[in-house]
Amino acid sequence: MDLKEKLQSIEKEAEKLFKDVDDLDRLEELRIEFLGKKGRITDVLRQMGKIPAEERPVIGLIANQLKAKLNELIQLKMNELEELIREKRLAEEKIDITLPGAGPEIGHYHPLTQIINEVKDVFIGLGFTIAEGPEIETEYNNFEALNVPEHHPARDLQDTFYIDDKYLLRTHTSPVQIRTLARQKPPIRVIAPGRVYRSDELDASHSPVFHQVEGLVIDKDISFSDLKGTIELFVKAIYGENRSLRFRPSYFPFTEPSAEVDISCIVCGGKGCRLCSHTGWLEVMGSGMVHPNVLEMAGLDTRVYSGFAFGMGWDRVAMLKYGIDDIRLFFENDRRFLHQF
Amino acid sequence: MRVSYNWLKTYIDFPYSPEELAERLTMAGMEVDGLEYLGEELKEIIVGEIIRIKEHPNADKLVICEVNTGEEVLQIITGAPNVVEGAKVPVAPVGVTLPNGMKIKAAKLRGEPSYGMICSTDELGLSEERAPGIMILEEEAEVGMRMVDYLDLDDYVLKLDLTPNYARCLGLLGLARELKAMQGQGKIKYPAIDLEETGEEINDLIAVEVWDEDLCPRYTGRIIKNVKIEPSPEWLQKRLAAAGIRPINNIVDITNYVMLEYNQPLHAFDYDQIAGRKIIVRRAENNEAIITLDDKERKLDDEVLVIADPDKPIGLAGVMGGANSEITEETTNIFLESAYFNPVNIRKTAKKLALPSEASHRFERGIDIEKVVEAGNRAAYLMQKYAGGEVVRGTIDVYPQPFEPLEIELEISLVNKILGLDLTVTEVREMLERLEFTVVKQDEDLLLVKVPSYRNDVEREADLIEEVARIYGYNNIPVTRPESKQQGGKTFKQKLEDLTRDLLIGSGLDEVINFSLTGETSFDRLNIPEDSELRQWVRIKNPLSEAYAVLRTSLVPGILEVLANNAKRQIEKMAVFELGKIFINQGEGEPAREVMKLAGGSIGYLRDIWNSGAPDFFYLKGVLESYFNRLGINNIEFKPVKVPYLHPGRAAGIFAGEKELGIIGEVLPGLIEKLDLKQRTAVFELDFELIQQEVKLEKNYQPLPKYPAVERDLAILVDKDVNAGDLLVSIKERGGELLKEVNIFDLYKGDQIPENKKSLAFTLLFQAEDRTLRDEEVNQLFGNILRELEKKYGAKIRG
Repeated sequence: MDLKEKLQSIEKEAEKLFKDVDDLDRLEELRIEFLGKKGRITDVLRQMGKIPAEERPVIGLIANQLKAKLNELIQLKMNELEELIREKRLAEEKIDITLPGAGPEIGHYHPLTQIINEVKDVFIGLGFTIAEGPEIETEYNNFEALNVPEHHPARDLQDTFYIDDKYLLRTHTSPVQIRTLARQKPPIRVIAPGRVYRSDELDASHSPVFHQVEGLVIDKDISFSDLKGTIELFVKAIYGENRSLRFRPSYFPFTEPSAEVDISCIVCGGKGCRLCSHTGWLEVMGSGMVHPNVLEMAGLDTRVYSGFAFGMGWDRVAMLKYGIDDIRLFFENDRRFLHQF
Repeated sequence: MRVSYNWLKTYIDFPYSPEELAERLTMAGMEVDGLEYLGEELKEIIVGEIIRIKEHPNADKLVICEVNTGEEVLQIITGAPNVVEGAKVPVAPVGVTLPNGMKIKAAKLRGEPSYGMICSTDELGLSEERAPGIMILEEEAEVGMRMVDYLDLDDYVLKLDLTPNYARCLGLLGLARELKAMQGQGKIKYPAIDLEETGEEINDLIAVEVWDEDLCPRYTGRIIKNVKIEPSPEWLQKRLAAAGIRPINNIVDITNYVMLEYNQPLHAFDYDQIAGRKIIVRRAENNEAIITLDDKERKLDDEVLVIADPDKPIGLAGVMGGANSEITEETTNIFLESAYFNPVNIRKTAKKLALPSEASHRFERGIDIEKVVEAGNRAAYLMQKYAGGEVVRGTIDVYPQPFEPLEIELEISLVNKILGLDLTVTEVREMLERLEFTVVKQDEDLLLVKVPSYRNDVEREADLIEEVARIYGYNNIPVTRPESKQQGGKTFKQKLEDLTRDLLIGSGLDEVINFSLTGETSFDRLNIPEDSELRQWVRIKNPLSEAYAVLRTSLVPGILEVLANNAKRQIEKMAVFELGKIFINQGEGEPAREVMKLAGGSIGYLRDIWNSGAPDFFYLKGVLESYFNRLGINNIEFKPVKVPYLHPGRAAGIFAGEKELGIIGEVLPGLIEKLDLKQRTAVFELDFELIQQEVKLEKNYQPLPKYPAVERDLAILVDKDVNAGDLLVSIKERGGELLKEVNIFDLYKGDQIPENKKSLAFTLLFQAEDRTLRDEEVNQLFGNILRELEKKYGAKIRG
């Protein structure tokens, strides 16, 4: 067999062997066997001395082509095997992605906090700041300064917890109006959220402790139409754009004219249902133009300044918005309740 | 107030159905919070005539009746003993439900079919006691007519929830007047007063002295002789019943009836019981007493106004009459009082004696002082007509200072400014005149308005502006918004509250909201000592119950109650916090201190990082450390403290430098059972106002390190009682500026090391800002640290 034939048979054998290789170690073995310093091609080339000089370049060329071809085969095989290994590893590393995550447990905001945050956001957007006042108030701030003299029947509207002759637990957030007027000159634009107290037995719709938010706007030329516009914007932001609302004459000693605000029932939309006592309307807040007596007691000139005030129980807002039918749930703090919000 | 729709219609015509009327009144400021159909329960009962009675073949006590109901003839079986042929009776046909809930079905009684029921008065809810037989109706009853028509129950009652400024509508005539103004038309049909005065002059029969004019600005009286006390006519009784007032006898019923018409409470005295033929209106003497109509003795004082004769009080003015001058069956002569009493005084008396009445309710809101005599005359007329009385000539009228109507100046420009309208002076005038205000003077921009005597709620221009708005219609006023002149936003404290909630919720705690009213027992349970500040409660003078008698001085009892209540519902793992106020009493007459506190609790936390058996403690501690870190409070230390309700070995005071911000710890084991907590529980409470003072939220950029850091681990053995925190302090001291960070990564107690020892492992990170640290430098620092720990704490390096 001449060298050319030898090379040809090496080529055939190598092609066959490489084809069956299935791991990287075997591939390296074969590389050494064929292409190593002591490999079979080198071996053939060593025999070049024995052939005529004019044939040598031809054999050399064939041998080099064969080397190149085998190198290429090895590279391809190597890529192929490495790809297989990668795939195998990825397959082995597969996880059950449906197992639960290990993220931190996150707590829940109390629904009353969520509601008041919504309320605050609406009013801050309208240029309001947030005012605060003590829960233990003077009788003066809670009643007299709000145009409710002692022995006035309006006191029957709010059953009061008394501390002593001078102090009581505020029955509404309205005293914050008085504190704001004492501290600040117009223009005034505040809301005052806070806790209030009434001597009502605890049941599904009454609580001796509950929450109100009060609003007060005082400036030159503030009108009832401004009150309507502000409240309408607020009500739609909280209860939805599709709510219709109406203003109804009412009575609060510290506003005149006074208005109760009703919205179309959030359950039946106005057709009448149990929630709205078949009237189609829900009472959501009280409001009115600040009574000139209140402005005068605060030292403001009623020919120059006017204003409006409004107030609502925010526990009730939360009950309406979330469809909660028992106010006690807010204060029981049952985890199964809290985790719904 | 309960208002009969039909009765109201007798005073004014209006085109509204009961539902429309309710809606109209509500929208005009007189809220109707209920509408009741009086015939609701009887609307399906009809009048039938028994045309034939047959014996029942199988029962002696039953009979078979053929009853004509107009549409058909029904066979009905009854056991009533008083059935007779030709009787008109109330019939409930098959399918009808009776007021007592019984549903009428076709039935067989002893084999004979029965298609309905002939009813008794109690079955129809018309009497309380069981009637002996069926109800037999008047001969005039028409067969087939509805029982509601027969009984005149085809009427609606509007339940008005009147605010104090609508006192005038506590009388039907006042309500009619409102309706007239709302409609802008109609005429009020005033009740008839056809008095025929006879006989003597009243002044010859009685004298009246008013000693306290301030408490009784007007006192009038009439005398009606020879009355016959009997039940009032049925129509009158029905009207009173519809209004929710129990009929008593013709005289008392007439006083109530006229009160409902005119909003003028009246009182009828038995004239013959008045000693000395003299009435004195005076303050009671201290310790004087009277037995009132409800047979209770009332102790009086000189703030109470009484109606008296020369010997004794015979009535509490404006509140309730006295038993000694009550109308009885023997009464023949009446002294009829119609007066105006001081509203504040009446209110005080009714409150003090806990004796609110229909009369006091009206007097304390103010009645029409100008109609006092007219109402009295109307009642006298009705007594003449329905009690056969003879009205004596003349009226007593003690009215020293006649009413002077208030006049108010109203600027039209102010009306328009306040309402956001553009009304003319004529328009405003017309609206006020509809409400019976009189315009005395009219200028270009000004009306001088005279207020009617019944409008005591109108005191100044704002009240007139409300009337204009009401007539114009609130919902016709345009919608605008005021110009905003300031930026809205929150204060630093308010933002910090938000941030606090965000961080704690992000750390896994649920927000809770507890009552600030609580009971002393919540604190007794926590072993709070007698002299503790936590027992300086603010007390409620008039609490609902002991459970809500004081204001909380700590948030901890509430937190523990929440955890215990949840534990009862099988919730074993829970962490909560509350941001709320507590109240510390500062002594009589001083305002209490209101302090914002932040408290939390945890139960059933699973990961016990130091294997110390106190996972909840370290969870809450970790939450707080992260919280303080976020607030820029970096000088926090936890030092052992004693708290009565906390485990002595598991409680810490939380300090920022010298300032104690609060406490954290595990609840004392004995208390866990007592409070029903079921498991170990950790709590904390912090003074939010102190936290606020320590917060440092301003940021300053520090350049990032340029040179590599060197990390070394240090494992040592120390006595069990050595605090890791003390070791950290020493390590930081010795490590100096180059020691950037030190962390504990392992704590071990157990088999591998001697008893009473523990092993602690630290990671130390060294780094210089200006160079790469050499090993020798680090070794030297490390050696210094180790020697310090050996010297101070007997620490041994662990091989």
